[in-house]
Amino acid sequence: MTKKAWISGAAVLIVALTVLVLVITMSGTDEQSGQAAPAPATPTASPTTAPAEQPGRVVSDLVGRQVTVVDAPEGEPVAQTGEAGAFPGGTEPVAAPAGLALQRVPSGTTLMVSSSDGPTAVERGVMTGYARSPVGAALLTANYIGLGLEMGPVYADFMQRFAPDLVAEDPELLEELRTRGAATQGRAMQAAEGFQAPRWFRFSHCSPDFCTVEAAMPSVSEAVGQVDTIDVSATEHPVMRVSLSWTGEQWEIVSGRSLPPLEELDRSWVLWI
Amino acid sequence: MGAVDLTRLKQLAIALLAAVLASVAFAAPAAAQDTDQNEFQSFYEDCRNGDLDGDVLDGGLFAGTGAHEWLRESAQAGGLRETLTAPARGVVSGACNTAGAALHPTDAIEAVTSGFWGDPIGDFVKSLLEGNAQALSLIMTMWIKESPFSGADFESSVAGVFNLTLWAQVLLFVVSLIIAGARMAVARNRGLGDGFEDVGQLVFNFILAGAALPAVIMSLHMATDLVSTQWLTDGLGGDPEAKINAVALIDEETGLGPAAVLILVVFALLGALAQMLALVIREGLLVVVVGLLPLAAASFALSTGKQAFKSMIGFVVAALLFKPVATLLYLVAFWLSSGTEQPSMMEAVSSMLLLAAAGLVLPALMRVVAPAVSASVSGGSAAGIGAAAAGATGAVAGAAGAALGNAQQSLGGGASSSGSGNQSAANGAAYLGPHSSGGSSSPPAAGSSGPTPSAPSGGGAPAGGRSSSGTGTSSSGRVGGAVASAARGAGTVAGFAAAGVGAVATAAQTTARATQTTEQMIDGALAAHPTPHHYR
Repeated sequence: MTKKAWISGAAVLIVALTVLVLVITMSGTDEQSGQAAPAPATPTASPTTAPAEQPGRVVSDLVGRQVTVVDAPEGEPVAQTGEAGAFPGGTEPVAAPAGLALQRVPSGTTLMVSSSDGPTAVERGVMTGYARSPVGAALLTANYIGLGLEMGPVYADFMQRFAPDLVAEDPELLEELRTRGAATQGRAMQAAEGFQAPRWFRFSHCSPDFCTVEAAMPSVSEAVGQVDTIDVSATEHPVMRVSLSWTGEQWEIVSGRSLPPLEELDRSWVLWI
Repeated sequence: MGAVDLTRLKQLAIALLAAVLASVAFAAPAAAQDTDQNEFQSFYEDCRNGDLDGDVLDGGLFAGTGAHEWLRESAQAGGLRETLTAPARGVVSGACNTAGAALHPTDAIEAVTSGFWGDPIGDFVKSLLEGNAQALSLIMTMWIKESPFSGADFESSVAGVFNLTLWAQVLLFVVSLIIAGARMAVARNRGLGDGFEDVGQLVFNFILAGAALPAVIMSLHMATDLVSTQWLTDGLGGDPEAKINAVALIDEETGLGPAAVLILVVFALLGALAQMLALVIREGLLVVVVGLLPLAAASFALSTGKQAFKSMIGFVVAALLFKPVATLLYLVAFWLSSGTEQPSMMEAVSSMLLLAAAGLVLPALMRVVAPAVSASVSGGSAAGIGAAAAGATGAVAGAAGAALGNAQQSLGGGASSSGSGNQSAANGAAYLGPHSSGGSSSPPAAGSSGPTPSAPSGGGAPAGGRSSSGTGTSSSGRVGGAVASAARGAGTVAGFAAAGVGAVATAAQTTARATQTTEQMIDGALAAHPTPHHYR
């Protein structure tokens, strides 16, 4: 290399180091050091009632929430003691329902029930009776996500019930789900062992006829601390968006998709459980 | 800044690089990033792929691809399959990390990176890493997409440069011919073959550079582009841009602290900048250089023109080789880091350095190729431009030598001033011999009408017959011999003839002195073509 090239390289290095020093000097005092994951924004509402009472062994999930182990593969509805919540005006936050509880089913995944917005019953192996309310739609969303990791007969029945129009496109796919469940003796995908049920919710739109729910799950670091994660950031929150329409009897899933994970949750998200 | 400072700067840079590599090497054990996966990593891989005790138990759902592949493909499936798999796709990676860390906490924690990653230093380095990834993506786009200068654009641009400089080409060509002719005149005492070779090479280069080279270079340019893209596609197996970008490079999970990564990423950014420059220079400058090649070829008789021609050919060769060689670097970088799901620290560092080094390929090639091209171009007509050129110029020079030999024989026969020119012609043939592969320029060919170098210098004597003074070795001696011979003429006619020849000889002597001066002047001023030792 020529002298000029060496000088140019040295100049670039010096400029880079100078910028680094400036950045450190200007912003080094207002941020915490260490490995703590960035905390989500303060929620605008928080749970105000105790979990619904339900039979079964009580354990806790990895983020410290109470979880009841139940025997029913599809989950067990709890007694309804409260009123279903009202629909929000616009995009205002929806508070957590009364008696919200988590259940761990035999396949290993986690479902969500409430004592105010359903589910209220079990029909053909599927919890039904989700209220015509934003919370009802959110509970259905949470269980769609949870059973999505079961990837077996219970999920097939669930989709058959709550997404009949989609299932009509490819009924054989549900049979493959059932076959997989049989091959694994009812066990969910191994990922279910680390699945943490949704903790934050928000509604981009919710009316009595149509509701779009977004659910965010705890990050890895919130569950197990700062670890060397693979493929994903330890501090990001998986996010799902599910659109549902009311068909006259129940909410039905129109579409469900995973969104890019979020490092930080702003105030539009409400901590439910 | 003098040479000493430059040396110190070099030493500093080398020391810095060595420190980085050493820190990488010695930090590796602490991060426990062997190519062997620990239990946490193995669990994650099995979990994500849906394995259970080594088997994928899916009942046929995943079609033998594993859950990960099946889920990924489902993202574009639409309808039921996309909705059905959305929850799993959204949470599997995080859930598998969580489950793996819960089951194997030690393995998951031991590779935790420097705490400084959460500090402003880490944030700054992360932003640099992001910038580096974007730069790499841009480079790959430039790399794979068709060059904006290729095809008709390249051809028309070259033609544009050619047309703009056409007058200069003609002017320089004429000047070069004049200089080459002057050199021939100067060299007539030493051998006109040298001069003819220069003229032949000049004409050949001019025709070659103006007519053939642009098309050849354009074809090679497109061919090397295609080869590079094909190598990338074959070597990476799929979308090259996505694969190269997937070479995870270095991030906070690699195991290095932000300070070490900062140094590496600065190097990588400089490498990315060099790559972009190299790509643009290769495309842009190639057009200009090819367009100007005829100009340099036209001035080939000038030392400056010859040097420019050699430099341009060197650049063209290096520019054409740049993409294939850099492509191989890309492939090696990818292969190094694609062995495992999570590349080890050394793999990541090596990949990053190799990718960055791709930008240095062009200057390196210039250094390697330019001297070789220079040597080949300056090695005479035969080695420089090609055997055809050598044959052509050798034939021309050989024919010229033969003609001169005949002319001197005639002169020697008429005026008995012997064959000094024969020696020149013979020497010219001897000079051409070692450098020419053309059969007609070989010594026997030249000697067919003129004596060989080993023959007595008065080769013309047998033809002249009557003179004994033609064996002088110097020009003045030969002229003196001619004058003496003329003075001894017996007849009137012979006396007139001798007087005439004497006058010619005197004029020749004067011319010889003048040409000696001119020769020195031109040799000094142009220093165009070093005379071989055996010729002097």
